[in-house]
Amino acid sequence: VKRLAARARAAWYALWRPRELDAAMDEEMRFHIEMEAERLVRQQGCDPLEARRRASVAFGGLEKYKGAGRDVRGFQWIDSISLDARLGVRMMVKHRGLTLAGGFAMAVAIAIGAMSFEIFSEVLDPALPVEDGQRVVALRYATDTPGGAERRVLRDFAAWRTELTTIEQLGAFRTVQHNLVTAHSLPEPVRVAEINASGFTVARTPPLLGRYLLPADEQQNAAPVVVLGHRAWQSRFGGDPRIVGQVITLGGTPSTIVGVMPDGFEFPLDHQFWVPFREDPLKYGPLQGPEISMFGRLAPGASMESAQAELTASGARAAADYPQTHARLRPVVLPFTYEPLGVTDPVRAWALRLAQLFVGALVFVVSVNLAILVYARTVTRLGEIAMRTALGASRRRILGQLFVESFVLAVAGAGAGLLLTRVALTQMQSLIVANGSVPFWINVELSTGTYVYAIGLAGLAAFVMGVLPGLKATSGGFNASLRQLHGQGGSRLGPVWTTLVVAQVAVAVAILPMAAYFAWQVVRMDTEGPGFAADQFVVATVAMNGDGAGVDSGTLLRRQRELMSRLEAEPNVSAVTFSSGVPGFAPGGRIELEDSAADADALEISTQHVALDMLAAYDAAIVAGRAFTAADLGADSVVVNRTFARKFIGSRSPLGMRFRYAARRLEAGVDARRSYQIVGVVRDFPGFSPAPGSQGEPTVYHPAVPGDVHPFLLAVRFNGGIPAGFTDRLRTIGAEVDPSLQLRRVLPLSELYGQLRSFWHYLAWGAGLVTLSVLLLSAAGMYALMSFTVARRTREIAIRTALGASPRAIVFTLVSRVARQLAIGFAVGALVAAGVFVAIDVRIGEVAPLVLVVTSVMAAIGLVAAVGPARQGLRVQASDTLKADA
Amino acid sequence: VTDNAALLPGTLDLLILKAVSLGKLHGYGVLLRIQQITDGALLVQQGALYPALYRLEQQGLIESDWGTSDNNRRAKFYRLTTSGRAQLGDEVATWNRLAEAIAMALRTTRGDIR
Repeated sequence: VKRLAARARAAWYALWRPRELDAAMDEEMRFHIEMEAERLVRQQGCDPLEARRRASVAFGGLEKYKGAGRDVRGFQWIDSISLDARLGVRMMVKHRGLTLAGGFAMAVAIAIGAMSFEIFSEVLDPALPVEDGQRVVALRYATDTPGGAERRVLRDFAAWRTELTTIEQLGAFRTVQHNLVTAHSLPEPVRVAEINASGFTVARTPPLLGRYLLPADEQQNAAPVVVLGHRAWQSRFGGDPRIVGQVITLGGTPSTIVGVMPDGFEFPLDHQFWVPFREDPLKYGPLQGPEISMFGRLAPGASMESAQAELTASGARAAADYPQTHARLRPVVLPFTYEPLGVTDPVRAWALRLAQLFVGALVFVVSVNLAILVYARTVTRLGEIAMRTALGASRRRILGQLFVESFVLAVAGAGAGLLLTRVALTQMQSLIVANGSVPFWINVELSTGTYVYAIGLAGLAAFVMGVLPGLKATSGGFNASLRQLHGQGGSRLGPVWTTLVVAQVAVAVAILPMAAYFAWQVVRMDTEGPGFAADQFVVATVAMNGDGAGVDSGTLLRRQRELMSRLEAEPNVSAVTFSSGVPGFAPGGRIELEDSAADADALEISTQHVALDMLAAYDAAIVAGRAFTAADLGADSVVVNRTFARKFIGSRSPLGMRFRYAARRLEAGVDARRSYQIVGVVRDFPGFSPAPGSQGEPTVYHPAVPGDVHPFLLAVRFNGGIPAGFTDRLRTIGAEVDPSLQLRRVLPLSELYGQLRSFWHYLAWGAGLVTLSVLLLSAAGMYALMSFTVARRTREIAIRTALGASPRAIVFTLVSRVARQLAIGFAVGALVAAGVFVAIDVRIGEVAPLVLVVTSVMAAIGLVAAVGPARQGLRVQASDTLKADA
Repeated sequence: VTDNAALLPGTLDLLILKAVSLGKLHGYGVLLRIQQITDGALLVQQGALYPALYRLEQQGLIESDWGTSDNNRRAKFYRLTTSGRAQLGDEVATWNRLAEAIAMALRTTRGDIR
């Protein structure tokens, strides 16, 4: 122990106080020399100066022994690493092209790897951030449909609550939207959790103020109460410390605030308002009642497996008792965090892990590509390596040096990549927050784990691009390297090299057109405008309490009419209209054309129910037939868009054609028994494509009047710009019409489009960066390989010139050799690219120019890279190269 | 001193441990003590003493502190640790066995092996 302690102490000093140790060593050795000099003066009567000289000689090289003394400390490897790192930095500066292309590619690859690692880790982390969170579970009834679940399970929930022994504190919740009305602010729809009191005990989080919900609150006749989240308390009530006991109106019901939960508590998902869950299970039969989600905690001693076994047994009993409803259902228990994110069975979890691995492999692909480049650089340094070997450096030491050099490049790339990841994740997090409804435990910020992962990737990359080429370069042994030193290794680049060149070209030609095609499509999408004055519209999704069937259409009709007429009276308003969804983002349906002999398959379309004047309000011109009139209400008339006509009907006129809805599950408001007739064709709007490569979305418009559609998208159009403060004005008018009327997401339409399309915006950036990095890497790879191949033949060129060969013939021979390699690579790459394009259903004619452009660019790079060194070779005198051999 | 013998590899550490076992010494003192106890028969490269001292200190066989020399100068003094003493004992035994074996081998005459 003592010896270990002494070593640790010495290591500590060596690491942190090397200068002090150096000074002490210097003092000690000088003391020695002075003592020896004094002895010589004293015993041999030497002159003091001569004595000192002789003492120094007897001591030996002072610096040499100081160096040996430092080596003893055991940290000389730090010196050598720092030396190698400095050399690595110098190499980065010297080979700027490689640094730029390699560093950029590495940065993009590591950014993608780190980002996916962060997101996958968040999704796959089974622990809820509460005490003992990994034991909090979700229960669901899985259906035959993969990922599907039956949620009308109030009866089963009640049974499980009394019956299950492996899961305790079993509770249920559902999310509803209610208008929040306080004394100080406008009514605003908020997401409210109707939840069992056990939700708070299962999370084991005490309230910050007051109390949380109790089982007594769930009684039908109990006073209405609400618990607030910390965020809502701060933002809507200014953090009022006397909030407990105050009354707010939620969905028209005055409720007393009984408590505030601490910061960060948003269980079960992202909730800030909790009210008691008061549904009586006995009121409903099997698979009836509201849709609920269930949660609980594994009982002490119980495991996931034992809980699943108990549930399976219970499910088997239910299937026997209610074969009609329960035969196709399978009860499942899973980590609570997996349920809302759709990781609903082990296969999906494994699929996600596999995906994580594949994205990580991207870095590997980039590193292999870089390894080829670095190999070219390493081969040019074989002379240096031979020299170092001759001076006593071991192979391990040389490989270590190559590793550290590559690691410097990889770390620079990783640093840039992490910066990129940070920016992207911050954007993503704000996007998540803006769009709401993401579970509270999802926090995509750079975690320590991700930093470690990125550094690990950098290490792996450095190994692949430093050590592997190093192993190959040093495998020939000392003599081969020494021959290299004399420039005699020109013929060593054999079939392996040719294969590398061909592979490099093939991969570039195979991947680049695809990457460029995808990036182009996404960027085009991102830059497309809506094709109408979206910045003149304010939109809001309007709903009444009790989404779906519970809404009385008579009341809805009156409220909607009143709201719209109030808005029409506002200054500068040019139109007020409504539709069932946001234009361009309507839900899908399937139809069958009645008189089409050719197409037996159902056709995918989007369906919108719109006010009679809606198309005019959006400046959507009718290009054939007519617009809706009042006579169309209740009739079978529909208007379709141009894409519908072009895609499904072709050159014939679509007017008068009929179709039926085919799908079993229909959008609200359409009838499978009815046949609809096309009376008009409208231009496509909005103008942007719904997905990359899409030529537009076939859309069917049905006429509607107020009261037909719930919830509906209200659109208010202005002459010119939107007046300042209008969104608040809209809320006020809404509250005046009916305080329980919910106006969700009130904002300018242009802003809504920005949010809805932000995914494509970020994807466009991502795709652009990836394509650029692939392009740079391929171009650099091509240039390096080609110029290197020709540069290796400088001697041959010089000698052949000396022997009388015509320079033009020599260049031609060389370039044609290069061209042959290029041609093989192009052919292989183009074949692969064509195969993939056919597989993803892209017309070859559309992408042929792209393949051609990429091929030409790569050919140009390859030839320029070859011609430069070849011309240089012609200038070299044969006598010079021969002299170099001597 | 022309008839000095060069040190056998690995013996410098043993000599230092022995010298220091006889009393606390600074680096130069170690050199003088080795010369004294070997009667000047061994040639020690003076500078080489120091890396060896640091190595032994690193291994915890000797320890050091700064003090004042006989001529009133600041100097670093070394002394044997407990584990150094044990190590010295082991090495002396090993050395003696080796020396005896080699001496025996060298004493052997043709007559002895018949």
